Amino acid sequence: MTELERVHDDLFTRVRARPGLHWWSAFALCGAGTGMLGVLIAYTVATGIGVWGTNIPTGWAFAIINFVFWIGIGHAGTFISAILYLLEQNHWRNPISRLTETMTVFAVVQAALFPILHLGRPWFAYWLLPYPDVMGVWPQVKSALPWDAAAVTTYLTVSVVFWYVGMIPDLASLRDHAPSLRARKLYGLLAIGWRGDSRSWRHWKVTYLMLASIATPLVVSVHSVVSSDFAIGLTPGWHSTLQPPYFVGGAIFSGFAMVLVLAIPIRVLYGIEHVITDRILDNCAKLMLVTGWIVTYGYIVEHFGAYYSGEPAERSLMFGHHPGSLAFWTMLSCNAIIPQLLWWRRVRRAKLVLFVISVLVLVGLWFERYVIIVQGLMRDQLPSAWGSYTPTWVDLGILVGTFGFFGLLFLVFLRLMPFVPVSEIKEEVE
Amino acid sequence: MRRGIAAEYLTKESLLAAIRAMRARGLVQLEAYTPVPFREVDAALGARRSPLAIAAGIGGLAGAVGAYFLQWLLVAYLYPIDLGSRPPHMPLPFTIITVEMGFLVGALTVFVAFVIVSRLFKLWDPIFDVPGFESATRAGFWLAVGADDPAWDRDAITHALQAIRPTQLHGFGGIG
Repeated sequence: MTELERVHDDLFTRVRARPGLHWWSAFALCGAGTGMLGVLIAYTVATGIGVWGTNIPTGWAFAIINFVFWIGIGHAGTFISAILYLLEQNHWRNPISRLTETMTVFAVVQAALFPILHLGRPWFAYWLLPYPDVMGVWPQVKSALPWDAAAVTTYLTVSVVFWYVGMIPDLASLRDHAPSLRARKLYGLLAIGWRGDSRSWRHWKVTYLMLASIATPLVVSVHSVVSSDFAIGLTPGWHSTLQPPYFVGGAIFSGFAMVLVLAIPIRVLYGIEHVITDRILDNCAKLMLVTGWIVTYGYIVEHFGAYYSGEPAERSLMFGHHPGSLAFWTMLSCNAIIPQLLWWRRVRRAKLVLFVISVLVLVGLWFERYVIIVQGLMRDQLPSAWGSYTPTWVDLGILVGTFGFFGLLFLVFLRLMPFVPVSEIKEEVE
Repeated sequence: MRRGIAAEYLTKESLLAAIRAMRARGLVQLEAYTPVPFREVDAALGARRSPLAIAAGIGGLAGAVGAYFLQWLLVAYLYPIDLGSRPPHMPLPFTIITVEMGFLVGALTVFVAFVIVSRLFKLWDPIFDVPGFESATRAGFWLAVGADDPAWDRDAITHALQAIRPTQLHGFGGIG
């Protein structure tokens, strides 16, 4: 047996393995979460967003926090699959690229739900698109809402195309070696007649390279656009040119945390520790430390800016409100203090500790968005307009439900699709 | 390639030797099928560079220009609104959607062009009827020679391909 045959058979045996108890348990749990999400979305749409905790002045709350949180998670997928591809870091990029691209697509799906629901009348979401309507009313492209629509649509579409193009050779392999006719038909359709001829490979390489080149600036542009939604507003804590790099750094930080949260159990459960090696996890942890410092720098500059500007509302928020806020201290502990443990190789190599740190980083990043959005709106320039905010059970249920939906999509992908980019790993072997 | 002879080799080196042997005979209707891409195979076949990078560039540029024009048309020409006395035509806020649409249309153009020039979406191909051809997506290195080639000589080609010790050799598309 040649090395190529050995690698192919080893990886596809794991990809096609029948699901065990762990998969079914996770599927049941995530299925329940998805069901709850569906019911709560139906309740919200039928009743109106008054069932959420949003109020005046806190007009943006869980919906926008969750939107920014989920779209941020998607960033590491594109970072790993596109930027590391362009930098020819294939030895540690290839084994996790498919998992991270999948994570990106499914995270952006969760994110896209929220602005649409937050419209209040989601059936009019298509008004954001410049379609020729009879009233002659067009989207106002100087407003942030069409920017988000353009940025998120582009990011989702390019991520899906990049993900799919990378998968075509593996889908063809599944088609050719599937055990049943039904599976051969399914993968045959998805592989769109891939033959593996040199002409197709030549065009495939260029297409993949072009898509990676297009996806790379998107890593920076998408969250910069999202951050512009905030930066163009006068709300304390929002109106700053710091926002784009701060948001992008936080996005990649949370994305790497989610990569580790997914990769650590998957490599054990599917027996692919020899593919997703300790070194790959170590590299992800190091990048989490780097992006963690970008975010920490953002916190420092944000507070310095508030002090140096002399702006009373900014000072009041940063130095009056933050020190007494549990959300602020949770954010600071999880994003700036706990990740410092990653300086130690022993911590980076201890999978359970790394997993816990990654979960805490995700918690911290969610609270960061809470601090920016909710606390900024609560503490406006005019003290008489100050308010408070409490989420409702519907808010919390929808947040939990998106984790269920994300998990469900991921589990179905693990079951049916090549979650390891076999052809790219074989190329590396050759 | 609708009909011809296909041979499978165990290694890339054997495949390259077979391609060179066929090209030395003046055959041009050749296609190699491999589990992973190889630059050497493209070079041996005398393949030209893929034009898809140009397609991506043209698509991206068209998307960006189109998006800018559309924004101007909507908010500066068809439905101008006075927002704090700012001029209706303002390049800065138009930049975001312009850049995003450039990326989007560039990516979609390169994908569609890839599908067209690679002749995908043809779910069945005569080569799929070759016994054992599924190894092309596992670890097999296949070379197909088209029967419509002006230099076609079935017996001589079979003999030359067999000289490089294929693991299997079959005719397809009615070639026995």
